[in-house]
Amino acid sequence: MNEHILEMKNISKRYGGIYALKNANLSLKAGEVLCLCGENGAGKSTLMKILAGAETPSEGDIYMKGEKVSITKPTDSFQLGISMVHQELIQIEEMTVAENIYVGRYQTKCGLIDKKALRSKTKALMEQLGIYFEPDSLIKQYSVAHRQLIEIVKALSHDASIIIFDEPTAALTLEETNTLYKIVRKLKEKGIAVILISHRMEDIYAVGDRVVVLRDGENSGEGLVAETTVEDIVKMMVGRKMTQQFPEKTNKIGETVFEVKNVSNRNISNVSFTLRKGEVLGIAGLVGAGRTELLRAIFGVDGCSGEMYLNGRRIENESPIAALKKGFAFLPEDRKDQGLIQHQSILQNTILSVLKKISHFSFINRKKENDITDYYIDELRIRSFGRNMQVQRLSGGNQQKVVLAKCLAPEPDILLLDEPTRGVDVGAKAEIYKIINTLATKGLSIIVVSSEMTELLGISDRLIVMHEGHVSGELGMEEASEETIMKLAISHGTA
Amino acid sequence: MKDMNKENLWNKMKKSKYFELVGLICLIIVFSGIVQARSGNFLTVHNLGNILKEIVVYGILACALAFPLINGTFDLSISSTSALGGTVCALMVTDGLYGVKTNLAGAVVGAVVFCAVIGAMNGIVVAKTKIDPFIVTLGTQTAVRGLVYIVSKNTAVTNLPNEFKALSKSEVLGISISVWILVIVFLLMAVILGKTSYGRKIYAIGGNYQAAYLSGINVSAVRFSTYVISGGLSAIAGILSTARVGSATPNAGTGYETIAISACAIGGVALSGGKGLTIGVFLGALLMGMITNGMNLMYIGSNWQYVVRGVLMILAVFYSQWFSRISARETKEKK
Repeated sequence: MNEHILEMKNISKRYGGIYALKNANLSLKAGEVLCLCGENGAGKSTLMKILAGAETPSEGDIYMKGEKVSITKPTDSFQLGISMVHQELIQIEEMTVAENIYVGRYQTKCGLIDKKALRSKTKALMEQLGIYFEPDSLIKQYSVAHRQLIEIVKALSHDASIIIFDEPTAALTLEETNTLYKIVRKLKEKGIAVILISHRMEDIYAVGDRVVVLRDGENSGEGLVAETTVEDIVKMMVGRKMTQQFPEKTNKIGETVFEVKNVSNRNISNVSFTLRKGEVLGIAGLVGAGRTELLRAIFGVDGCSGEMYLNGRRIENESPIAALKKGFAFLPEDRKDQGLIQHQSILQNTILSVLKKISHFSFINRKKENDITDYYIDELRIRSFGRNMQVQRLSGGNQQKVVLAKCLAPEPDILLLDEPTRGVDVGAKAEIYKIINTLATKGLSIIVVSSEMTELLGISDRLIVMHEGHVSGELGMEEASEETIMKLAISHGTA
Repeated sequence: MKDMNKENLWNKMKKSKYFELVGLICLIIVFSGIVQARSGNFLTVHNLGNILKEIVVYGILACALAFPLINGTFDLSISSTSALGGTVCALMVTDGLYGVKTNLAGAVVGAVVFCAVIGAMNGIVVAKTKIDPFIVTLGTQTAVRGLVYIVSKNTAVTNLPNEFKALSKSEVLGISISVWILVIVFLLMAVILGKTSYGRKIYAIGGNYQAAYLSGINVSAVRFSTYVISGGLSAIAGILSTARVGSATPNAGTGYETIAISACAIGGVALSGGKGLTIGVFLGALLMGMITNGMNLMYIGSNWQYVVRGVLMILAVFYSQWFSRISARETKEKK
């Protein structure tokens, strides 16, 4: 039975009395791309952390090529040929590409680092994958996508036989994603086994051979990708059949409430559009098209020229404070860095924008803040141990709901959502879609920026597409499809 | 289900924000026990009063530091600023500060305002530029110390009127006025940090200033204000120090910023910001005072006091992290 290069048998991990993993099994063949799926909190990350030596299992054994191995620290894992490309890249920004790849393992000559050897070795590795980055350039000037590729080169430099990817495509554009797929296929050709953690079905069907699904720390199913449908996977993940991911639209669209005319700054140019009451306006485009920058300009984070009209009156949002006062709310794309105060409680995060409203002569009204927080915990179904729980202990989906609660607490009229479902599992995504629909039905006007086209197609009433800072087109839902969006997103078209 | 109540109580305790202080309280109890056993007169009312009197100056300086610290910045200039406050106040009631002479109340107000202005200058630079607050206040620490020498013309201000010295010497209800002031400062800080929206903003900015900014909090204004508070409180500490010693020396308070940092760190204030309780800062300052006092009672020289103080500080921070890990454990999200 030695065709498996890796077998994890009956792995359990307990934190106190709670099982994060319960008798989980996983096997892997050389040259295989295994997709590991499951909702947030299902135990995927824990299982992979055990494999990478960041956590030790409470029970269970790991076998490599039939032999039992013990992995208690990250170096054990490296030596066994296991590398992990993390979701949040851990690289040293002020060092060069080559230095990052060989960090801690520099070849020396007379006690000094042999830069020439370093450079040529790095180049050779990159050649194997058919990519090229200047070995001497600083890592900080590269985008997330490029850094990820550099991280893969690093894994190769360790002679890895197993490479683990943790949600590699979450932050990538379509083009970058395709490049990554290509690289994964190359790794496969070289006989390297790949474990891919991903929420995105596209990833699974593009490169996956086999899919293993975890639910509540246990194996809930597996199968060959070719024989498994999306519905099957979703069913294994959530334990119920998800007939419809997107809610039926119930919102009624009213008059124009907000208008943007020729808004420009360093990243966007001459953007104009209108937004109506109760409308969900989707903004599509590739990463770097200026979508986030547009929302930031509207919300007063970055300055801009041009005109904005709210209910027909000219307004100027010179800062987020001013924007909030006028009834805008903004959910940033990066909830960890911009959305939440990680080590503070759900309550402390939820009431951030309404401090004034809930205090009397600057003294906070405890009852009011508790009531507001409990209301949103209930309304948005935030699953927690109560309002005083630290947000960093919540799953991604529930964290996102806390950011949403913070945005909703001031009862805004116009909601700006930047990637509202990034890093959120399927179940929570469906819930967020439902919340968006409910809010629009209540009369909120919502702008959603998203890189997931299916999502935009599922929840929007109208779409605008951006390309290199311009609006390259506007689409009604009857004419919108992945193809029409893509065409506008890639080429500088006119509508 | 049977022991639900018991478990709930334990869990409630663990989840309480005060749980982290358990380690510090244990340290204080153990230390008190040891000193009491060795010397016998540590835990007397009289001696505890002495300890409180000893911690007045750096207790208030710890408060002065805690505001910027919780806000995610730093203030190294508090020691120099306190010396400036003491000197200005002393000059105004004796020879006069460049001709300005007032009564004690006027001098106190004058010194506090003067130092608040120094704090405001720190605040403007920190809030409006991207220079690291550590560097900014390291600079002002030196510059302000220079100002103290200039203002005092390199000499100590002596011949303080008795009413000035009385701030430290005379007692109300058996407790020194300076201790009352210490208590009031801590109570005010507890109210501001714990009960007001301003306090919440300080924590929010310290926790994640980007998130705070995008949530409509005026980050610059709050940052600025914490430095003004820091300057004002430093002045009060300096005045009380002057009252206690009986004179304002230009090099007063040198090195006190390290003691204030220690007290804050022992008390669980995160140097990265966003975290820290008033009661923790108080207990931190108290432990520092107890170490000095207790070791004096045990006839252990000041050289060893430094060693013990350093070791205990690291131990205290270790415990507070340990207890916060315990409180984090098992409160993972239920599924």
